[in-house]
Amino acid sequence: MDVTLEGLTKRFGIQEVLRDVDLQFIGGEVTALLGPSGSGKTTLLNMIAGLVAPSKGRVLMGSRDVTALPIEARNVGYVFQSHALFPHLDVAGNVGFALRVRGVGRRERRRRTEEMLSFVDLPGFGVRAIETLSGGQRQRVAIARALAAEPAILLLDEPLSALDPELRARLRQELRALLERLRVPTVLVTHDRDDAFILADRVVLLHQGSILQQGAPEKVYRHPVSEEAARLLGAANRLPGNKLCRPEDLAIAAAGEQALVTMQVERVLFLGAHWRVTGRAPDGSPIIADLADAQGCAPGEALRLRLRVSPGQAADQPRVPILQF
Amino acid sequence: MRIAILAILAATLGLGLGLPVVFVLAASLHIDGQPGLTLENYADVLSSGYFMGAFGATLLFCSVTAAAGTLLALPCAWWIARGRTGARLLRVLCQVNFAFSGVVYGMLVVTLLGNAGVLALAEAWLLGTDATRGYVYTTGGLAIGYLGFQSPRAAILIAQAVERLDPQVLAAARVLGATSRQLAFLVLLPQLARPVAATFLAVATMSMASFGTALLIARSIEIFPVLIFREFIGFGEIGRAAAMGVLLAVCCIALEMAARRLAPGADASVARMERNR
Amino acid sequence: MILHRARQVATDAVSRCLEAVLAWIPALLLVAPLLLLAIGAFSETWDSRGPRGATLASIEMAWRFAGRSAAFSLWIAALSAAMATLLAVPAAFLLVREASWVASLLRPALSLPVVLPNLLLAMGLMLAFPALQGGWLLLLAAYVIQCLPYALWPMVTALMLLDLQTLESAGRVLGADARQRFLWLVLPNIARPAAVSAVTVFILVLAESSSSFFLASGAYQPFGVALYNAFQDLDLRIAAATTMLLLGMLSPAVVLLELWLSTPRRAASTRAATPMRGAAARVS
Repeated sequence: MDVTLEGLTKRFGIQEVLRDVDLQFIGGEVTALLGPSGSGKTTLLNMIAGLVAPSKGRVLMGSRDVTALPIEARNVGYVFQSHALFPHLDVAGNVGFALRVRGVGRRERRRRTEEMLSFVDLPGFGVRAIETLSGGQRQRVAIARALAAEPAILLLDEPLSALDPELRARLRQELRALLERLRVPTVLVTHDRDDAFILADRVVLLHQGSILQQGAPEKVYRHPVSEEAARLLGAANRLPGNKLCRPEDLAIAAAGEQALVTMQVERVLFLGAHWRVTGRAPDGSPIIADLADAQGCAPGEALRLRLRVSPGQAADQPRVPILQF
Repeated sequence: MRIAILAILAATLGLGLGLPVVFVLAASLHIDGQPGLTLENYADVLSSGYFMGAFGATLLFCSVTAAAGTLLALPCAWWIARGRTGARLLRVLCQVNFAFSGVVYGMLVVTLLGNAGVLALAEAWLLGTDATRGYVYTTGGLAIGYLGFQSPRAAILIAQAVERLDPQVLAAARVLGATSRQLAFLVLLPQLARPVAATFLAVATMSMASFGTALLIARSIEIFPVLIFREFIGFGEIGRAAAMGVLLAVCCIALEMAARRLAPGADASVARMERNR
Repeated sequence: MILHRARQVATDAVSRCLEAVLAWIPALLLVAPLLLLAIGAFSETWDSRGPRGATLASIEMAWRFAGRSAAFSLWIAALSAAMATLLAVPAAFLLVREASWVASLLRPALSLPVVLPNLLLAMGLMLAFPALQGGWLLLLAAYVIQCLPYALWPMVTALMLLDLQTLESAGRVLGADARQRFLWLVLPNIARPAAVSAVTVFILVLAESSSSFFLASGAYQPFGVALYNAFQDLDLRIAAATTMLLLGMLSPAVVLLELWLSTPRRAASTRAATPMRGAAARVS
């Protein structure tokens, strides 16, 4: 069943947090709502769940208008940022809660709980107490709990934001694997670009309450519709001729090659996978270049740069900058 | 549902708290037999050398003992907060203090300092003298009685403040070269100054309203709450007792507000496990 | 050089000893007399040469003298505990949930009994309800009002730690209606704090000795008053025995309370996104 949002608008007092949002979520697809804080993404998520009522617009599940339905009746799966596991119940108690609430018998509840726990790779964890679980395990229990009653849609609020970088990278992969196996539409909210790219099939860029762009991660990254959209997804350099390019699109221009721009190097940093050279263009605007090899770049020097040729392209066909306007 | 609960609470507080307070205020402004409001009771009390003397003496006594109790509590609080040997036992021993009323503390002090008490027995056994006879009925004895219930209370309060100190701040001071003494005076004391002051005020307030211990053993000093008791129950001087009660209440409220100014927030209510003895 | 070190070690040892002694004085002020009281209560004679002999006579006399008081105090303490807790639970919800002017009015009103001297409340109750003087209702009223803040406080702390709002949202999203949320989510989490509240009030009322003096009467004498009378009129041994009776009544409750307060509550917060690091909510 698909979930559709029509013209959703939300006003808090005089402040408009969301403006006329139209979106559709189809089964089996993972959508990331990506945007800075204040962009309205969490509000949008909460409106699907029913935690927030829209000022205008409709929420449809299938063909059914659920806008007026209270939270309890909507049958959505929601994973809170803090997980919000019930501290006085064990894992099985948490996972089976939605079933218990619907009057499902004990035996059936137990069977379904075990099924869900196996799905999230926590078999036999039913008797464990919540406080004995690690962060990753808690998240999986939270997901199992949300899915137990077979919701129409799964919503995740900043699933990885509270974690430190190492744990985050690992959990991201695990979460991706888990979400791939779902058949319901999944929507997650994040302000982290990497989270969105790795977890989602479709990225929806939100900024100040409206959708800037939506699409597959690569499309949105390489073909942004505006400079704003481009900058939301990563660094972008302004080039002469009103073009934008990404740091990784630049390469050092050899002695005989024509340089697109000559930058005044300010700092050279080694980031493992590449070197990051920052500095200024002749007109003073900042330039960030990610280079495979930064030999010969020292702070204070002038560095000649050109657009990088991608493997597979002809040598005289430089990479197209991401935006020309 | 909410309205019902609110109504019940309002009724309970109104009848159980508001009404009595109003009646006491009213009584303090009335003379038996005379119609109309009058400030004569207050004038009576405020101008009486006896009553104001007792009030002042009580205030002084409570302040001094509270200060002593707070100081005495410092090593104890530190011991508890740092988890030294037996810290848990010490904490429990200090906490159960709230289960003992003023009268019980009076009994404890009599057992400690009375004619047949620990001190007298020890003295007789060690030195064969009886110089400390009757000590419990002196002001000193009363003071020790007050210290008995003040210092555990103060210790718990200060221990909480110590526990809230950031251990990394202390470590930073050490790394920067501070000796133990410098650490105590330059880092700890300034940080603990406010909580300790607030504790002192809380303990002083508690003592001002304290009643039972004094009733039992105060002979050489007139403790104000005991006087109120005597006026009200003994002599039936309702108006005067009411005026004295209001005076005491104002004093307690003032001390309390000062304490709140110094250490706002969480411990406001934690502080006051059983203050009326 | 060695002398200097030895001197340093000595001063260290002395100061550490001193610190230990100072730290334990507050506890000593309680334990030493308590011990002697316990011994004296069971002694045959107790004078300036110390308690001697062993007998239960004092305990028997104390029981005869103060038994009725003990029974009354236990009864009214239990009643006060029940009433105070019944009031405190909904009041705590109101305080934690409501952000409106209701809460800001309620909060100071509910902490007023702590600031006001108890004797003021006692006098006021006697003046406001003269017809009830000599009965037990005024005592009950005084106790409940006096102890309400102390019953309130464990509840409020627990509720704040619980993050009711998220709990409720999570319950709603999973499909639970109001009744189900209350029974299965809220109630289990307030059972323990409510019990702590009740036992706290029980102990406070048993130990009470200020309003009790004003509101006691011939028929209804709280134990604090009985203890005072024992001290004034009777032998020290009997007074000690009476004190031991009180401690006997108090001990189970105190032990229970200490046990509850020191065992960490199972992850009392729904806010934890990372595993709790050992320390339970500091309830005391």
